[in-house]
Amino acid sequence: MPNQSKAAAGTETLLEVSGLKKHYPIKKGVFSSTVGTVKAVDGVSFSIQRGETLGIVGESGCGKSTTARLVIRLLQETEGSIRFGGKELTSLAPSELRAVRRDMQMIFQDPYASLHPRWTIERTLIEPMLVYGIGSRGEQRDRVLELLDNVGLNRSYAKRYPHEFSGGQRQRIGIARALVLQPQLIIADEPVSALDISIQAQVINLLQDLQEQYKLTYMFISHDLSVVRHISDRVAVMYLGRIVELAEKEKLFETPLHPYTQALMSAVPEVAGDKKERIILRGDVPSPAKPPSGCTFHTRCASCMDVCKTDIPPLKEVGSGQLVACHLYA
Amino acid sequence: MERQQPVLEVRDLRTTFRSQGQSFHAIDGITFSIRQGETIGVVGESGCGKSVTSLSIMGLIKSPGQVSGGQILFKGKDLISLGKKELREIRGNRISMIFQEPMTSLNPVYTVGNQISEALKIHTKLGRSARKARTIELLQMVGIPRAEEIITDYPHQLSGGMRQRVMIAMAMACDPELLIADEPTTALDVTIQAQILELMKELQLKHNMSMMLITHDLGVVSEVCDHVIVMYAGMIVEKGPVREILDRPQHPYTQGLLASLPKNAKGNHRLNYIPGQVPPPLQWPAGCRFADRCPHVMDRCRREKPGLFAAGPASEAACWLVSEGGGEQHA
Ligand SMILES: Nc1ncnc2c1ncn2[C@@H]1O[C@H](COP(=O)(O)OP(=O)(O)OP(=O)(O)O)[C@@H](O)[C@H]1O
Ligand SMILES: Nc1ncnc2c1ncn2[C@@H]1O[C@H](COP(=O)(O)OP(=O)(O)OP(=O)(O)O)[C@@H](O)[C@H]1O
Ligand code: SF4
Ligand SMILES: [Mg+2]
Ligand SMILES: [Mg+2]
Repeated sequence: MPNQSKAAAGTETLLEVSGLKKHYPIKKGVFSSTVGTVKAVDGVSFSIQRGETLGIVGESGCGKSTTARLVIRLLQETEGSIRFGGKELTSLAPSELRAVRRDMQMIFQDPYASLHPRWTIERTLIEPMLVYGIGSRGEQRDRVLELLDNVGLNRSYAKRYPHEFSGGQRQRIGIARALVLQPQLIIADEPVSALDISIQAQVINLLQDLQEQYKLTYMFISHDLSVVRHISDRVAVMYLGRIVELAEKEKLFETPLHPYTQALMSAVPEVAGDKKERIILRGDVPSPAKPPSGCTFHTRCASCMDVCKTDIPPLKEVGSGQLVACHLYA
Repeated sequence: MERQQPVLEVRDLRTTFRSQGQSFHAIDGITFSIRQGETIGVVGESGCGKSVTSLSIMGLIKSPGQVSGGQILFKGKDLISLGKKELREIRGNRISMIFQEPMTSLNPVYTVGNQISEALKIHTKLGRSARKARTIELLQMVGIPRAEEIITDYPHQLSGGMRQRVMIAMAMACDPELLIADEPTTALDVTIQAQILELMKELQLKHNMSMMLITHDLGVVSEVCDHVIVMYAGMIVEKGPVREILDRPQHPYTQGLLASLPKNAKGNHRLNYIPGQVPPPLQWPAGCRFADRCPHVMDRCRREKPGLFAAGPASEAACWLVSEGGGEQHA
């Protein structure tokens, strides 16, 4: 990968993903014959330095959660490589994987579905410590209370069950669970989307404090661009299973280059009353089962040229150090 | 504006739960109404009772929880005293709801197409093939690509935002008079969010539908809501026309909420937030429930609970500061 300026300087690469693909066969009919493939993730490459936050944004269904699940090994890739702390994860034996998993935690997009319905919150938070044999009974309980404080949940909630919480409270339980083992990498999939802005702010401050303290590394998936802008060092923009732009945060937000990134930036609703000019994306969201030829964005792009319909633009560096996959910058 | 009968009128609603042997009010006396064609935004800190309010209206509070007081009038009829059969006709048909967590309301063992088609079967007279066509049309309306293929998929095969849109399509399947949407766009990126909000507005115009929109996104509130209700610890602390509340919030809690917006912090500086936590229901203080976190707290706030006072031309706030500014108590 081309050099990535500031963040890369003198630091160590914690996660390196290259050529990652996940294709799902589409099966139809009584004989379940394969009639096509959904290219959920279709050749994604990026790296994250230790202590850095990489934000990932992109249209719903573009493959963000799938990428996250591949990295954390909840899904088997179709192709590609994932190196974490120098180890190639795709070829690791299950016993070795267990050790690595401790250092990688995920905050799930759907907190309700990822919490055990018949476990109290205390049990949910103690479980990972039991699995890895960490701390005495008393220490484990103390850690639970500390975590509840951290995510702004009342200590009296420790004995309650998931269904007794509000959506935002459940999301914070998911965050607390990811923090239990003090991992090196946290993959956060829409971690604050169900939180009101004041608690969102507290949680983001907490994530940043922890990052400073323990040199934590984040892969931060969110569709909330103001949150991404606040927390990330660099941001990757995905469209239909691929990265179309990757750049330092300020560059990306101040001079978005890819037409999709530009449309994305213009769609953010404003609290102030005056409405702004919006780039409304025309055309249907294409299907990852039948991605358009050439640049997959060409069917909705206002600057589409002939070459866009035939040739796939590679992700490459342009003058400012931004990586962009678009023929306009060829 | 001409005064017509509200579509929904909630009066002094109370909802009670039991946990660890103790019962408590999660909703503690709230009153508001929604007129025809109007959109009301409901905002407030996580756990303040927004979802419980909507579940109460839908009659979906599960035992040992219950609606323990007040009235919920839909076009003048009290839903609380209605029989099961009558309620079923109204709920899901004339009132639809989009739930906060799609996976809790989509059935994992049925395909997406089955679930939407089932909703159409209950609420419309469409035949089998017409239902299929309508299902595909609804999915396309909410911006789902390859709708024809998705109908044979199970919920786990969809992305988070796609599930949320399936819910939206289901809620719209029967042209409701009132749509209650609990965080309907949280899992959607901004371009699709814009598209969905546009679609809701369109339907609203076409059918004069009323909407109760629960969201923590103040940008969304600003763009689609006529009125706003701000909740805190089971109560309404401020309500009024959207521009009055967002431009000149009078309650210290609302002010704190607006100050927490990430864009009000620069660069990598820390974000503002309201220090402290919402007290859990069993620890609600006797006076103002925001008192422990309020930068302006006075003695009186800790002793007496403030009612709603006139705060702006058409807004009200439950705060003693507002009362001292010359307002008169409404409640
Ligand atoms: N088990 C599966 N079988 C078939 N297709 C799948 C499966 N899981 C995901 N997909 C498809 O892969 C694509 C990417 O899904 P993914 O969940 O990664 O999207 P996402 O970027 O996280 O979207 P969102 O913002 O909506 O959460 C979608 O088109 C989805 O339908
Ligand atoms: N089934 C239940 N049993 C016990 N307590 C409950 C139950 N459901 C909700 N609560 C409690 O009621 C309060 C209000 O919850 P509600 O779900 O209405 O919050 P909310 O305003 O929707 O929050 P969020 O923004 O996080 O979704 C919370 O303190 C919650 O813990
Ligand atoms: S009543 Fe008092 S404590 Fe409550 S918000 Fe107003 S000033 Fe603050
Ligand atoms: Mg996702
Ligand atoms: Mg809720």
